[in-house]
Amino acid sequence: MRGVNRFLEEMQEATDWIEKGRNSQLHLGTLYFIDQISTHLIGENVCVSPIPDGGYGYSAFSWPFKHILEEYGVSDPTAGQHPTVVSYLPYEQDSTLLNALFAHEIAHSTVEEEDLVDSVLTAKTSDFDGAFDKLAAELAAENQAPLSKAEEKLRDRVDSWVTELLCDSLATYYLGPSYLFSIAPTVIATGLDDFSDTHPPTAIRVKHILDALVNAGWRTPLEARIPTVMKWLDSVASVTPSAVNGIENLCLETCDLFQAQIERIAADRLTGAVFEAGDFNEQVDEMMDFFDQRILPAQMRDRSAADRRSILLGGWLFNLKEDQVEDIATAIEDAEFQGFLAAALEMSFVLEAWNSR
Amino acid sequence: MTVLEHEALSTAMDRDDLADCLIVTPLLERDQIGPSSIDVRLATEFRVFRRIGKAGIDPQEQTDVGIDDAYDKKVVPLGEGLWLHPGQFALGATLEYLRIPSDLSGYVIGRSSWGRIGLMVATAILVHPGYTGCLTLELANEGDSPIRLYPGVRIAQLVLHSLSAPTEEPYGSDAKTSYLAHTTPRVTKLDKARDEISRIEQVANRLHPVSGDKDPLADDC
Repeated sequence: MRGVNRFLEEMQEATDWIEKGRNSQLHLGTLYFIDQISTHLIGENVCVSPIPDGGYGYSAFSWPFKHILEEYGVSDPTAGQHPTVVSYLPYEQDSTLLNALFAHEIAHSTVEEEDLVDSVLTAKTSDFDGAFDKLAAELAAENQAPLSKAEEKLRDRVDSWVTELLCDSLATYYLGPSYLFSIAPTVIATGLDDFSDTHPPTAIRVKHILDALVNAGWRTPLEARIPTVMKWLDSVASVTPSAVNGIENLCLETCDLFQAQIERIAADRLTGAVFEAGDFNEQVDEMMDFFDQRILPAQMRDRSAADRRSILLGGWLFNLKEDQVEDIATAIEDAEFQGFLAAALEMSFVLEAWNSR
Repeated sequence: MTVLEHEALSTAMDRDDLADCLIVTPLLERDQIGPSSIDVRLATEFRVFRRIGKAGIDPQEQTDVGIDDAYDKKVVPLGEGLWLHPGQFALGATLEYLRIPSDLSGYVIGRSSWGRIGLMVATAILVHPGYTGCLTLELANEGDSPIRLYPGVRIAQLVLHSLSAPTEEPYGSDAKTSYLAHTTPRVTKLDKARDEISRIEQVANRLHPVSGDKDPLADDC
């Protein structure tokens, strides 16, 4: 009976994402790109399933029926693999320029599997510990709850914010400015200083992303190419959210206190795979010529496959060539261009795989 | 007008100025450039034509939205195949994205190896100077057996010839051009045919005026 129950539970867990996964109509170029991001952010032995859902998100769980296989001594063909489901908004499935958002969701798996939040929090200071303990005691007293409960609540909030900043940093170090541009439409659409239990205010996130870009050498080339857009992003990052209670205040202090540690851990995790300005500079002139002349940027003139991260960034910069902030939002509305970009990604992967046979 | 041979094709693809280059991208293997043509491969996206719930396709009445509905989109990744049954028709595309410079023109023709098992590959074969994008292929199985189509295979060949002088009006310079820089198979646009039929109607009315709603092109006129 216990076996039947477990079977049904696992069926229930799996059915939802299997069903949604069947409805996924992402372009092949996007699917291959998700595989590339997953390989670098999680590892070789990974299975990421993108599904259309109510928003961008992430979940990880064990393979369905894993326990049953173990119970009956059947060798598990998926042993060692980490199934991860990333979801996206169905109406954005053709928005290739927003593909960078998948990197943030995939990074959640990295942060969870490798306990990166704990690694960040090892840099705690006694001042932080003191503030944390004092606030937990106040919360316990205020809510007439056990101290352990108050500490748990506070720790969850700090962990969530650190997790989000780590995912932003990993996505930025891996994809460069494309990630910043892809969250910019959200910046335009939402409040900069809105507090949430799970996510830091947008202004704080943009500030962290901009700092990561500086570390990867992007600041100067971006300022040379799109000064007005960068000035606007700086103004977004300079907004100081106002905390209305002790928890929010502690969370804001956490962001400041651990920023350097978050940056270091994300950069270290991606050693050798960080997308630096120098990498893009090698292809940028040729890439932008391709875009200007409406030539599919899949194969460089020396016949090598174009770098996918450069294709994505080239697509953004082509759309921002007038250096107007509103183009960030309008760029993702051009369906023809999104298809063009997705085809470039797909053909670049095909060429690379062909050459590596 | 001279058909470009192997050396001339390579030279056209390697011109220094990108604006004047013959673009065929990605070119997976250099040996796709043959003695007097370039082999092109089959892409991964198809529009498979299905039966429509009408007596037939009347270009005069059909809207483009209606025509779109007559096709099912199928994406077939490399390594998998699409069965095309006898009598079935589908639109495919070249895996290669092309741009024909203003001093060249060409045509795309099927490869004999496919033709000999009944597969027709292209009927709208002319490729104008200035054309930019993947070519849409009209795939029809005229044989008796189903044929499995594998994306990535060499499906057709592009023959190019030089023009007596570069054209000053390359494909796409006219805003009315329907197909520009596409990367997927394009379904037919019948608006031009509709315009033409309207003009024919006007001519027919002058020849033999008809009254009321009677179809001027009907057999019993």
